Amino acid sequence: MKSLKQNTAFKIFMWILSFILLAVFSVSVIAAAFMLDQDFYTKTEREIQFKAEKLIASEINSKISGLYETYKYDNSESEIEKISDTFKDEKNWRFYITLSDGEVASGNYKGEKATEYTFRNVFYKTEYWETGETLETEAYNVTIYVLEEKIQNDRFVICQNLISFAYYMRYAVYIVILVSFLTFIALVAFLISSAGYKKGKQTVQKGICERVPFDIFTLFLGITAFLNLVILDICFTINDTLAFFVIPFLIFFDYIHISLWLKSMSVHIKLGTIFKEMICVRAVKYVCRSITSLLKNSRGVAKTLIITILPCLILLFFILIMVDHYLRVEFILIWAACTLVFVSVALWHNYKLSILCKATEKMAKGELSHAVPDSSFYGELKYIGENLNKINEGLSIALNDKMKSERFKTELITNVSHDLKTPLTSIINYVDLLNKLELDDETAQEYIEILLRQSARLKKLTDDLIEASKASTGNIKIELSRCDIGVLLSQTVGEFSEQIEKSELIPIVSLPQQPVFAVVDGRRLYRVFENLMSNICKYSQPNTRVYLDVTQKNNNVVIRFRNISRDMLGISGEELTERFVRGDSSRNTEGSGLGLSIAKSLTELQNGEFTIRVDGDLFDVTIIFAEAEEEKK
Amino acid sequence: MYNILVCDDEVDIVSALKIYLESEGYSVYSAFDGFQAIEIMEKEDIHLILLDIMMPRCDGITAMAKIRQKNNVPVILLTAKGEDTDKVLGLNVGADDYVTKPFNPIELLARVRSQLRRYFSLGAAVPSEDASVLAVGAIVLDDRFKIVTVDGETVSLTPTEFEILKLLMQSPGEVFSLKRIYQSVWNEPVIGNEGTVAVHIRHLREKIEINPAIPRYLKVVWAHGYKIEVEKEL
Repeated sequence: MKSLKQNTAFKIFMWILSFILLAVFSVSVIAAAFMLDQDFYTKTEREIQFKAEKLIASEINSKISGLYETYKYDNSESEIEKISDTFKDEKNWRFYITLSDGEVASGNYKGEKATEYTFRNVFYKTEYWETGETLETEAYNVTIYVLEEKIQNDRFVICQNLISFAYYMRYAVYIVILVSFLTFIALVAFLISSAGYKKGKQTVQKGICERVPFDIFTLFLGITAFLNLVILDICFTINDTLAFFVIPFLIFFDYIHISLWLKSMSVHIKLGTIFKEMICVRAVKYVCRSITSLLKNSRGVAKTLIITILPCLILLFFILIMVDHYLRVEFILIWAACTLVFVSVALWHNYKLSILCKATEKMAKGELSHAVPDSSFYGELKYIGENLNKINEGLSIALNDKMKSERFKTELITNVSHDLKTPLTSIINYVDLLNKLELDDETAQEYIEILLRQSARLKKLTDDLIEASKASTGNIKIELSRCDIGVLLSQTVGEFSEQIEKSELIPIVSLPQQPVFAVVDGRRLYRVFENLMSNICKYSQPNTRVYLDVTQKNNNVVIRFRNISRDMLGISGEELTERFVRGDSSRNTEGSGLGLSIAKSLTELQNGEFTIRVDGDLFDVTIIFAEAEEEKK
Repeated sequence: MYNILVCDDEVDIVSALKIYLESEGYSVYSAFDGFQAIEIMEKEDIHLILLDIMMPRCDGITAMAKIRQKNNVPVILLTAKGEDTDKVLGLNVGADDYVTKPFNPIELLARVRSQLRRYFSLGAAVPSEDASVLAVGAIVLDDRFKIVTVDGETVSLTPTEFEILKLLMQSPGEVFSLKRIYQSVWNEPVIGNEGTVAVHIRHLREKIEINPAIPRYLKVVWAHGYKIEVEKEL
């Protein structure tokens, strides 16, 4: 079946067959209808034969009577001979004319065995009608004798044969109708189901017909139908016979057309593209899309509409008042057209302006890759667009340069730090080895201890330097997740329990009743807390309280670290977060001066806010994150 | 005695390591790039390798991949980078541990010791079928005798620390929140005092980890809780 479906020759053969079947079906139906009309199923064959013969005989009668009356009118002699002479070639019938008063009876019937058909005719003599005399009428009968023994092959014989054949077939024709109809349907079903299959292709393929959108195809069909009517009309006006010859051709071409239409439809339905590819559907979709995008991308559509429509309405009001009523309709039509144009232009302008607005908005946000598409602008808008693009370009270049230099700086710091690490490793190791030698010289031992301490500090400084450079340039992978800030603070305090004890501090931790969540990177936020806690342990006045709070405020999570500084802080909070700035100007203690800078950068990388407030000796760090929404489960 | 191969392009570092290791009684072979390391591996019977990553000619990762084709001895990577991705790469390719430069000699020696003990003393030991004995990596916890050993060395823990460790080891890889640990170890309702758990965990880490700041087993999942896990699943 599949291979048959893919066989084009077979399909064409099937199609021709279907056309033949349709023709047979149509002819049979017409024949059946005709036979039903002519009482083929209620009367005997003989009766129908008589009826047909009578029909032909009546035609002959009208010819004869015409001739007879012509001769009579001319008062010519021996009219019967002349009529006989006219029909001398038709030997299957004879005629006999009888006048009603029995005056003359004459004809060429010679008493052969025949069926007789008598027609009564009336002859109107209108000889003196101008003088106003009444018309004289004369009635006469014409009897046609159709011989039982047919001598020649004329229409009597043809008719007789046709009728007997038709009579013989009068029931068979129904079977023909049924069979041809069913076969036709089956063939059409096969053709529809096989439409679109081609040799060597597994799926349904589009042919040439399907490339034409289906609605256009349907329109063609309509046009063809109309053309058919026109052609038929012309043919019938010229000649019936011509029409008789033209009709089969028309039917044939229409059949081709309808078949292709059906094929196109079935292929489209199989592919599900029947509506999608229609020109009208596409047009409607395009229009809808354009309008929605126009409205969606425009700002202040309502404003524009009000501004444009309001004056138009006022104008309409004046038109209604001032214009005479018989001119009103024209004026209103002109008004409507003007309003439509006016509003469309305003909306279009508004749309273009909105595009510019959007572009500036994006630029303001820093998305510099988004240039203004200035091709479709005009006038001042084009000018603005071009200038915006120039600004954009300049900014992009400046930004790129800055990025490049920033990246270069980071790379430099990282590379230098790596290179520092290798000699540092040796220094640390050999100082340690020296230390192990346990030199007798006390001074040497003292120097070694200084070396040990300072090399450890150098190590810390290098590590911090790398981290600070990465954090400040955002060169760090941040993995955000929903985190319980209270838990993180508890963990941090736990980690620092020993150091806090060593520094003789009293930690006061206050957490909210309910856990508060923020979307942060737990590991990085711990680095922030760690830096702050180690600062607190290093620089706090012993025997003071350290306040560590987590609170929830206006949908924000607020974390505060407060401690009392041991030394005087002669520096502002902002300055402290600068790189390499330290609270103690002597810079003698351990630490790199990078801790707060790293903490600030890391907090900002997690979309948090990091502020330091110095109030006398009170050192107050506040970190704010947006509270995370409820977890959906 | 154990033979240790030290491979680093920096001569001074190699000799310092040699001094340290020899003072501990190990015999040390030196190599200055990956090819030399591979060569020595083929000739000598080496028990542990200290391998630098950034080296000329043949870097540590490539050398390790070659060595791993034939040999299964412990490898400790020395790295100057300290980036997480480098660590993960190194551990995935087949390293057993890593140390970031500049390293603390004591920590390095502890790691060497740990790897050797694990590989040669415990490597053959079949984990006990006994349900009262839990083992994760080099940590073995015996519930009957209340003994914890790390790399075969007994560690003395307080009862609370022991209970916390037991709880975490019962389900390796699972993250336990502070509340949950408090509730199961203290058997008391939590009234904002779960912070103590963090202190105990810190102490526990100091006892069972070589470097508590970079734990191998007892990991902190920041802002969530704690878990016990083998380093390789980093």
